[in-house]
Amino acid sequence: MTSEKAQKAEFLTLYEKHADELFRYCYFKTSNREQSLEIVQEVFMKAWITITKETVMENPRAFLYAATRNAITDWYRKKKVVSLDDLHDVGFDAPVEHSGHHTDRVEVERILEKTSKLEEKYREVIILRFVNDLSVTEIAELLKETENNISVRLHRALEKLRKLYIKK
Amino acid sequence: MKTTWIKKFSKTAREVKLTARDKRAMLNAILGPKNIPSPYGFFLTVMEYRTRIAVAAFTFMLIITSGGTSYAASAALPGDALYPIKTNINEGLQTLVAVTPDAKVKVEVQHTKNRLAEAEILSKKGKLTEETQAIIETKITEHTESIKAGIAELTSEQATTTVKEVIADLKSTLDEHAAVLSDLASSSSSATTTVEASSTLAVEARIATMAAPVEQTEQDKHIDALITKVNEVKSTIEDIEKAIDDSAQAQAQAQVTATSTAEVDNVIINTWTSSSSESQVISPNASSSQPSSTSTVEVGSPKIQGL
Repeated sequence: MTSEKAQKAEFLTLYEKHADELFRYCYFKTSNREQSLEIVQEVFMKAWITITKETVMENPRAFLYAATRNAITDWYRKKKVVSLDDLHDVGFDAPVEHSGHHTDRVEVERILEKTSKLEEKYREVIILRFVNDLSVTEIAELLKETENNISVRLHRALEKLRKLYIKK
Repeated sequence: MKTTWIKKFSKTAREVKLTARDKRAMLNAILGPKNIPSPYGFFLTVMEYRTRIAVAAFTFMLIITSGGTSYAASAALPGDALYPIKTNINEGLQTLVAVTPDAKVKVEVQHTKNRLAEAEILSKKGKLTEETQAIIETKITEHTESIKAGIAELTSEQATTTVKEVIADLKSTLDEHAAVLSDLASSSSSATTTVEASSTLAVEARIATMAAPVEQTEQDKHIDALITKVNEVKSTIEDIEKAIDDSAQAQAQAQVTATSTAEVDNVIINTWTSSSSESQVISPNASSSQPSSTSTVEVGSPKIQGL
């Protein structure tokens, strides 16, 4: 029986480690800062419950990512497809931490814009690989696909994005 | 070529983070406000509410018992805020330190003197009220009781030497103080008296001034009460003195008697395996050391008056 203190410590470690990257993931997928905050909170709440219920998490990171993906999917279903028009209306609210450099912010917004033009499955692997630095193996596990499929998809996705990105 | 743009892409994307504020707010929402680790350092994080109270209480006690406060308290008078500190902590400490019975008696005598000194200062200042007088009186009674108890604890030998000194000292102090007190009382009236060494004379002098019509101020009443108290204590002390004297006398008697008995029962005593030579002239009030011997010596031993 782990003490409450130990549980809290475990949770805090998890939080410190993964909060940012999960937020990043959400943000690039939803383009919505508020929503991203909500989702991340929801996910960590689940994690906390899991810890207090003393259910062992084999791979916490995978758990967190899976939970985040599900939450995003749910949100999508409610929200319907995010059109480009919507993006223009809402405006990009790029939450760059130390945005001393103006171009950084602009860059991020640009990435958002370009990636949102991709098809969902390509977008997914691009974000997971190049925004969140997950390995091909990890992505494969997460998406329940073979590594090979992921590898191929990634390659194609990158091609498409490059065209979009370089094109300005 | 391809790789550089994508690297830049990654790098830029990674700039996206939660703000510190957002992070804390989220943590607060999940765990509840008390659970967020304070950014203000390890110290606060580790301490819990209850511990903080314990530390504050401890520091408070430290301040109270440290030299400064008790030093300041040593001049406190009844009615002052610091007076309890003087009585309980300063004097309390002295009482604690006094382990042996004769040390205890000495300490209590000193405290009694303190009370009388306080009374005098108060009356000089004109502040000897009913409350303060009552406080002092109560304390003096306590001290007297402790003195009696302390003396009772002593063996007769110690009583004869150490305590006799102490008691004599106390008696003379009582006399002085009674004189001073009555002097203070009578100084508020127009008549003056010469201070006598013996307290009985001082009291008589007081009564003499009463013959002339004098306005007795409120304070005088209290002073009188204390003088009465002092005389009480004095008579108690005298009783104790007498008791000690009597028992000493009786001891001496017993010694004489025992010696003669011993000479008669020489043979019996010689076979006795007692350690010190003194035990041969056993005074029957020696503490229960050789119960087997009592049968031999008890014959003709006088009873000793207890204290």
